[in-house]
Amino acid sequence: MPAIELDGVEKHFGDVTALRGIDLSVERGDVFGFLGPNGAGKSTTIDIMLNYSHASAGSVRVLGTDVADDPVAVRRRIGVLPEGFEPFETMTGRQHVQFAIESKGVDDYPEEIIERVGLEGAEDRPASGYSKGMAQRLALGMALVGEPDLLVLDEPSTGLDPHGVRRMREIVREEADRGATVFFSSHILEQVEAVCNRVGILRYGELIAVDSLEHLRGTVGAESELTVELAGPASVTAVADAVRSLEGVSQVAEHDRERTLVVGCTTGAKLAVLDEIRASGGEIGDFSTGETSLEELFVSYTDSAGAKPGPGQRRPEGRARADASRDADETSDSGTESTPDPQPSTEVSR
Amino acid sequence: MSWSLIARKEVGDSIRSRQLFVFAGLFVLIFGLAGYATVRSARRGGSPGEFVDLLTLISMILVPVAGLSLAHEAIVKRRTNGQWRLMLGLPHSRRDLVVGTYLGRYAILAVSVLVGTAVASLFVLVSGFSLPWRALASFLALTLVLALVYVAIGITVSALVRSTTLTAFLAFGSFLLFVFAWWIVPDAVVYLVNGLEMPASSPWWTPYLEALSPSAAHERVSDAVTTGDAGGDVPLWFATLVLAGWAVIAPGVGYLRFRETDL
Repeated sequence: MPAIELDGVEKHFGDVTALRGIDLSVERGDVFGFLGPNGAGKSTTIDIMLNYSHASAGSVRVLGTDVADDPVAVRRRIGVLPEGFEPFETMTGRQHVQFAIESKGVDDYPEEIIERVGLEGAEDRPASGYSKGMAQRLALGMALVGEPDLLVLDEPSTGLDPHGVRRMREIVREEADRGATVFFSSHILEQVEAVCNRVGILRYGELIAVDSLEHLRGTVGAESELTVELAGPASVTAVADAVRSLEGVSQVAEHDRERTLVVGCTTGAKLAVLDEIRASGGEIGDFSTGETSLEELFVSYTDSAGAKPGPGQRRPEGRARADASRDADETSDSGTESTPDPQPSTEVSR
Repeated sequence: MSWSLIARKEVGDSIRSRQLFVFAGLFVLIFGLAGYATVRSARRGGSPGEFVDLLTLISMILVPVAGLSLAHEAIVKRRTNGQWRLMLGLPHSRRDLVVGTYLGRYAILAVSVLVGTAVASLFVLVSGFSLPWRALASFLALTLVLALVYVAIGITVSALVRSTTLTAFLAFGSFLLFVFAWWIVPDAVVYLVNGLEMPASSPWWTPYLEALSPSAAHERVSDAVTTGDAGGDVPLWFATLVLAGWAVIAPGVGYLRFRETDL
């Protein structure tokens, strides 16, 4: 029995379609990363999974129970870190955790939970004075109460500092080791990359890819990432254009200011890339190689795969801009190759 | 029994935010003034029985105001600020939320009414006058029913709509309508039904329509209890049913709507 099963889930807000038929199955024990740009429908999907909102069509089973039929039975076995909540204004952090313990009818120790999420020292202050990151820690703590079989974390890293992000990652790993299934949404890819064994990518309300990370990397066709820092006067764009035409190169990102090229290519094409850079007048200052980051994967998927939005589809502004720039050089797109967004990091992890 | 946890949290919130003390203080102050007025008039030869009449009169306005203002934001505000999202991540149902909030807020008002009455009564006693115990007991029971009904109306409004502005408007509107303006309604309906002119004699159902207002129904029941008068324009059972309807069916409808909508 899968931990989560979505079957043809649709959601319409008036004549706006937020989800256009999501089929998804998350197995027990998976750490599942639910990815997509802002406005893709991640939170809408999670809201329906938790019965916060109701699907226009389709059904959701969580741990074998239909959430629309018996949401409380589901909630008894899951832990939730929701998006867009405020803490209870009159209660301290400890009282929040205590309330979760009483709600779930378990006998956890609030102190342990508070220490685990790193709120020690702040637990007796009113939670209304917590920063966003502290509120996230608190809600994560409440979710951890009672060793749930499934953790649903909606954009868990929102507002967290680097320590908090690391702590979050550790906790996700610990929970997975304990045997829990973890489902979390994010638009920040390195976090998903660091902990997930399976990933689903959502775009314009459609699930455009669900796979293990290795397979997803394979599908994009770039097993390697080559970062080259250019020295000398040669134009970064000219060098990039030359590299782009090479066989085995799937994407080239230019960073003019840092005079850097990030090339996604097959492992065998790396040397050819370096040769081509020199042949086209570039001087190599430094270079490094690594695996394709999920970020490029993500950008290549959300920019080139999947349907364009229909007439009633929400179209986030950032996306629209990225698509417009893509349309401009569409003539140079040769079928299989796609031009990645020149600034993927600012685009997707804003 | 997870609604009782929600209800306890509501009362706890009210204590921690000092709201309970403000409300209890308000009732102590206003009922206390009634006690003071009673003592003054009793010293000039008036009857201490006026005490309960005075409290009844004040409660007809004060209790609806307090009930509606306690309850009208209870559900919609936590919906707006996302606290229900936090709450429903725990094993509670939406019914638990509505029932727990309703009873929790009612407890706050009930305690305020009790404390206010107790302090004012004590003042009258200490001033050397006796109290009409029986009348005071029926006043308390009936006022607690009125409080329940108006908290219920506030909860209903709060569960029905998504905007805090709209709930404030609806709460204030229902206060004006039920407490002050309802007497227009039966006549207006008769006028409309009769083809825009008043008939020579009112149809038999006019008093029933009049008793649909919770305040009117409460008055009918109060009359029956205090004067022992079972007769009247409408049967006692009808007025009782109206009160029960407002206390139970209205929040039930609010819950059904709340259940069907997205958070």
